[in-house]
Formats: sequence, structure tokens, C-alpha cells
Amino acid sequence: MKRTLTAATLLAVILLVPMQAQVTFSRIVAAPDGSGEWLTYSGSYRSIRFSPLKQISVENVARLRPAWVYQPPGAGTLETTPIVADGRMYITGPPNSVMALHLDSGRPLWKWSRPIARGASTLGFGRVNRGVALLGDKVYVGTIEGHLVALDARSGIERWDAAVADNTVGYAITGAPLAIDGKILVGISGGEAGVRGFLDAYDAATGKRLWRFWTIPEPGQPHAESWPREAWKHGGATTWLTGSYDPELKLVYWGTGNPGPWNGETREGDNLYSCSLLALDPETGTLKWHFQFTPHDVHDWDANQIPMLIDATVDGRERHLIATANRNGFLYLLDRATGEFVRGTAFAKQTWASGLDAHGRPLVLPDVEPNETGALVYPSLQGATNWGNPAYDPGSGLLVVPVREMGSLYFKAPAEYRAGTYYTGMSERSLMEEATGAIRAFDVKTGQQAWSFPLPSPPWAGVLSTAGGLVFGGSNEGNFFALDATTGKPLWQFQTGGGIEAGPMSYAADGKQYVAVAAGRALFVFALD
Amino acid sequence: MPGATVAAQTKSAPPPTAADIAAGKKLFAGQCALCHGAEGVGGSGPTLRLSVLRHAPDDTALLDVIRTGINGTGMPPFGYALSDRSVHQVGAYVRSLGRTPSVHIPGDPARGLAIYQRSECTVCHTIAGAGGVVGPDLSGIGAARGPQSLRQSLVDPGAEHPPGYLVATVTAGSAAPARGIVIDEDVFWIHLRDSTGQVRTIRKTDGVRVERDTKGSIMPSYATRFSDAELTDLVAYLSSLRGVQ
Repeated sequence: MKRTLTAATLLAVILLVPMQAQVTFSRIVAAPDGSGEWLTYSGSYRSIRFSPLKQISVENVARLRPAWVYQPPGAGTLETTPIVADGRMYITGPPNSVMALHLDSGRPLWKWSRPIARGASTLGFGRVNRGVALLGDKVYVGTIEGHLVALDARSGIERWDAAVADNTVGYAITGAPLAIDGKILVGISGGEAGVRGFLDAYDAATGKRLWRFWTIPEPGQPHAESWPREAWKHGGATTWLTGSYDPELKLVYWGTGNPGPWNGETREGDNLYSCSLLALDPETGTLKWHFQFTPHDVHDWDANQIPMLIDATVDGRERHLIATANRNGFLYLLDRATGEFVRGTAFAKQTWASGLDAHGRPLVLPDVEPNETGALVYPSLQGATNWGNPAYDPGSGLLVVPVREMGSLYFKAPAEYRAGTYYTGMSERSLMEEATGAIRAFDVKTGQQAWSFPLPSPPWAGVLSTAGGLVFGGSNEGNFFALDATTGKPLWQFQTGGGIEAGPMSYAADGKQYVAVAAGRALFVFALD
Repeated sequence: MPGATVAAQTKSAPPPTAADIAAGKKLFAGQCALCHGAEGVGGSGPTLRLSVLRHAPDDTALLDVIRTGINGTGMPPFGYALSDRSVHQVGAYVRSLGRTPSVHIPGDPARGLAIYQRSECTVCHTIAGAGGVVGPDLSGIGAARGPQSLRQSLVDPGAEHPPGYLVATVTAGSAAPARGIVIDEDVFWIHLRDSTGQVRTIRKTDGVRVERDTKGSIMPSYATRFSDAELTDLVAYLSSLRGVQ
């Protein structure tokens, strides 16, 4: 945008600067369909990555051009989703940094970073960060070393620091926290290091821990019998991606990861609450219901993928649902008040289950467990979808999923717990050359596939739906593209030059719509020319 | 520092027992033999029946290679999958292979060189800086792969090809299909190198179909062009190519 710096425009610019950043809880609740803001990691508490903005549409998307690009200092691929509020964009960079960018200039108004500790443990994941949470006048970010840090939104100055978990035994924070009514909820990584998973809530003002929900029950608690002997102590079930929140039901929904170790020989049983979706009361951290997608998982099929809260008519009934595409290859609909299984259909090639029973429990086929010479199973260890988020268009009722089509040979080996080292006992050899990817859309009413757009490799990027009738997506090869949401036909693409491992988002500033995505080591912002 | 940790562990580790070597052998047979061949005779990966391994001259380096892999080669990391004990057991078994007789490679490398030079191999392959660019550089092929794997590549080149040599056929309407090695493919473009070395760039618009041939090669089979004795000599020559030391 070209501007002549007359006295009038200078004054306007000066007036804009002192605007107070005050993202209240009610503002996040009230703005799920956005006034052009993007207030949570997944765009709203519903986590459907749908932008109601429609300035960029099927008709004009071919005119989309880069408006600016920002390359954060430090090396490493960005997995951040920007948050936009009050004229600023907040992004994170690897490993421990936050930047507040001005929406017009693309330049940082402040930067915060904490050098990664020497010897910091990252067992099973990269030195990445996926984004911040925003509440009141603060920005919240997790660190690789397992701290939750509150920063002043105007300056980046630290307000408090809470030690969430011990990195020396493998815990870390890579996901974006979730801010709910005076509380900051944060999950942890470390499922390959034999940690015991949990979800924490902290007082947004002080950093005091309010509650902790252990994702694995200890002896005496419900479902403790789903673990033998001492296995619960190192059973994983981490909480490394961001959950969702229903302000009416007052329930928070959070996915859990694989049981540890991957090799299942030493942990007979269902291993609750691994590979599950949890519905918790955010006031107390009390479990209201759970749904386990993959009981006794032996393929690392985490259930951390984003739970999308959607309202739709299914089988003739208006229902409040959760839609989630799982690493295990099935796309699930659950009742979000009760956790009742509604529907589950395969969205990618899978060879481990003949289907799901009436309660959604998989009917597991024989010979799919890892063995000494390699068991060929689809999907691969990284799953049929991963952290690349799905999206939902409430207008069309289409669920859009980034799909990874890949099989692997799964080998088992003895696992041995030693604090701060890998605790897996399993390896895979992926069938890389035949592997492909896709962006697929499914009709929520019927579960039928509406279209599939092919990708040359299994994607890590997320997707974005917009009211302009578009689906934005990215590829490992650097393509950022827009598809016609009705047909899946490509309408526009830009080669960013770096693999895309983050989810796109959209916002508006000064009446103009923008689409942003992190690609490689840079953040790209696009607008119509 | 990971290196320091490994060194410390190695020093304090007790010498491997027969049971350790047996456990390592079992793990090796399942996961390592896929590339290194049964009992380490070599396959698409190098033989390990050598007293000194190029990337693992000592035990510390060997354990590190098993844990972290070797950049720029097909050797993946196993540190995420194997316990420390398992890594030591596999290491002990690999060292035991180095004490077994090295694999005897029959044939005459000098005759193999003559066959290589008079045949069309140099059109596509480079050795020591001279030759074609369509196929892989063979300068160090003898150090990277075992003789059985080399023989298979001559007889049935598609059975197993090195990374970066995947073949695809691209069809667009009524035009003649383009077939070649996939140099690069993104969502909207594909670049192929055909058998003449020419780069073909195709935009993946509507109606363009890309078919990967994971068991294909643009190299012809030499199963009938060479006699069995000639193949043996050629494998002996290729096995002698150890690259720049």
C-alpha cells in the first residue's frame, strides 16, 4: 500500500500507535467468526480455522501477491500460526522467541527470546514452537525447557515465568497455550521419552498453577487397571497440540498422544487416557468424559490433532459435535456434550482395522503389531494426518483435512526406560517413494468425500477455509495455494521456496484482507494487488 | 554434548558378551540386513565385513553412526528406536562381522574395466570426474554397495534404485508421454531427466497425469547383453571403485 506522508496521515499513524492491547475473554468468546482478528492458535475456541472474510474470493484470488515477508532471527523451520489483534501480529520462532509485528510495515515492534539451554532435551520432536496465546495485556508462550512465560503485549517484557515441567526427563512445550477466562492452559511434549502426560492451567495474572490433570491415572484412580504394574509412570499420553473450548457447555477439549513405550509388550491393556480426546472442566481440571480412538496403540498414532467444534445436522438431527481427523486414518464425529461416538470413516489408506464398532472402537486386524522383521501397515508412524490442522466451513458443511498417504514397515526392539533418553522400542521404514499427500474435503452430513486435491508428498501444513469460497493449503515443496472450496480445483499458487509446516490464517487490517502462512524460515503475508 | 556422552559410556561399558552379540545379531537381521545384507555382506548399503569401517573407525564412532545415521547417505538414525543397550549390542555384532573373512568377490576387475569402457556405460555414468550425468556417479560405488546389489542393478536395474533416481511417466493429452528420472516435483510442476540427459519441465495442469514407477529405471537391463562371466568381471570392477579416500 502506497502512502504519501502528509501531515494528516502522519497524525493518523501516530494516533494508532498507543492503542491498548486488551484481548478479554469475552472478546475471544464473541469473535469466533472474526471481525478480521485471529485471537487463538486455531482462529477461535471452536478451532475450525474458518475465516468469515470474503474480500479474497474465487473470482479474484488469482491476483493474490506477497504484501511483505518477515524472517525471524535464528535458524529453523517455522511452525507458528500468527495471532492478530489490535493492529499487531504475534508470531513465534524456533526455538524460544516471540515477535510482535506491525501489520503495515511487517517490522518487529518487539522481540523476546530466551537462548535454548545447552543440552536441552528434544526427544521425538524438533526445536519448534507453534504459537502464543493472548489474554488481557499479556502474551503467553511455552519454551523447549518446559516453562510457560507471560510477556507484556506492548513491549515483550517478561511478567512471570512458571516452570511447568522438567526438561531433563524429556518434557518440553512446543504447542501454543490456550487462554480461557483468567486461565492459561498449556500442554507438554515428551511421549517418546517416557514422561507421564498432563495438562496444566495457570492463573493468567500471576502464573500460579491452578490445577493439573494427569492423563494417566495412578493406582486407585479410575482406569488405572488399563496399565500393568508400574507402566503408568512412563506411559506418555502427552498434550502437545492446542485444544478447543465450548463456552456454553464450559468444557475444554484436549487430545492426548501415544502411550509409552511405542513397543506395547510391557503395557498390556487399553492404556487410558493415551490416544484419547479429553473433555475437562476448565475451572477445576475435572474429567467429564473421554473417548479413546486407538486403545493400546503400538504405532505412535497420537490423538493430539485439533478437535473442531461444529454444529451440524447429522442423520436428521441437529447436533453439537466434535470433528477430528485422527493419525490412525479415521475421521470421527463425537457428541461434544457426552463424548458419544456418532460416526467414523477412513479418510486415507489404512490396513490396521476392518472398521469401527458401534461405540467407535477399532476392529483391529491380525498381524499389524510391529515385529522383528517389519510389519507393513498403513498409515505410517507419522499418521494419516498430523499437526497440520484441519478446517471446517460452516456454510458448505465441508470438513477439510490434510492427508498423508504413506505406509511403513514397523520393527520392534526391546525398550528400556532411562530418564532423559528415548523410550520407544520401535522403528519404522517408510515407503517414501510411493508416498503421496492430498487435501481432502468431506461432507459433514454424509461423511462422503467431496473432492481430493493431490500433493506429491505427505504434507505437514495445515489448511484454512474462508467465506470467499476458498481453501488455502501448503506443501512440503513450498507451494502455498488456494483451492475452490466447492470443487477442490487450484485457483492460485505461490512458490515460497521453503517447506510449509504450519497452518495458514487470515485477518483484515484497514479494511483489507490478508492471508498469512509460515513457510520454511519466513512468514509470508499475501493480499490482493 | 552427545559425542562426549557416547565416549564416556563407551569407556565405562563392559566388554560385550556372547549373549550381547547374539542379541545384536537378531536386531541386525531384522532391521540392518535390509540394506547391509544378511550377516553384513553388503546390499544397497555397504558390506560391514571389514576390520575398519570408513564412517566408523572406532567403537565410539560406530555407536554414534547407529544412533544418528550418516548425513548424505541412506543410513538413517536408530537412536530414537533402539535402547542404549540395543545400540551397544548391534555395535558389538557389527564389530564381530569385521573379524569374519571379508566377502570374496569373484571376477577380474581389469577385464571388468575393459567391458565398462567398451560398452555404453560411460554415456550415463561418471567415474572419477569423467562420463555422463544421467545415472549415479559410480566413483565410490564399490564402497557404498555390495556385489550382489551391483549385479542386480545390471540385470534388473528397476528392482532397487538409489535415492533421487525415481522414475515417472508424465502424460498430457495426446502428446507422447515423457519418461525420466524425477529431478524435482512440487504441486504444480515436475522436472524430469530423460534417457538422453535432457531436462523436461512440465506444468501439472488439468489432464496431466504423473505416474511413478517405483520399480522402474531408465537404465536398460544387461542380463542378456553380457554373458555371466562378463557380468562377474564388471561387478568385480565396480566393487573395486572406492571413491576418493
